[in-house]
Amino acid sequence: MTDDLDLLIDLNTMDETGLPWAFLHAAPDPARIVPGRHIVVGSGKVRAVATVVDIVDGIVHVRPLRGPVSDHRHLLGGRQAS
Amino acid sequence: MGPPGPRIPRLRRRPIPAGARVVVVRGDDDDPSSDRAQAEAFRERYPDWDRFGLSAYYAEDEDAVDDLAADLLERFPVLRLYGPAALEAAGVEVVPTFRAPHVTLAFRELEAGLHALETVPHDQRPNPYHGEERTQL
Repeated sequence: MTDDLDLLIDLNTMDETGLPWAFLHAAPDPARIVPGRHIVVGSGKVRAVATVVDIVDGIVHVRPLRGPVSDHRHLLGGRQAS
Repeated sequence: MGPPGPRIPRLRRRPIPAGARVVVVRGDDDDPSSDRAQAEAFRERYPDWDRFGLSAYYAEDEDAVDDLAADLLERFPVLRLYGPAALEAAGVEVVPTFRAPHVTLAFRELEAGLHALETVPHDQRPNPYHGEERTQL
């Protein structure tokens, strides 16, 4: 179930930056993936709010925020989470 | 500016510690398709290494497992713990990559590697730091 995700990302991942990463094309709506924006990320049953750090050569890095999505819902800019 | 270098992950020189209590920990998102998708994404990103790969973290003892559960892997409802020797025996390389304690579970054959991760004896335990509320919006 990924309908509620802004970016499908395995939060186990790390790369040279020390941050989780995913391809921009893994985003249902790439236009939502903007540096500095808070988005909902995850895979499978895992969900987190994360800050988009950067997008380089089609690779998105995010910094997940600690705690459940509900703690950070106010950061999602009125996004209607399913 | 010269041509781009080979697209391979950064390999750390220092091997993961040896010892009977060392384990490799990977967060489980309760979706079997996730491992396949991520292994393929890794290979797409680092094609010159010619391996599929999944991220995990080594822990030298139970305290280190607890630290991972509470921090880097706190979003995962379940943790999978493997013995490095068992993974290697099954054809899955445990490669120190990027920043410690990160490792890449690497394999050249996708189906065989994913099968090994399912069938190699391992411990699967709930993450005590993960709340049910975190699993959904």
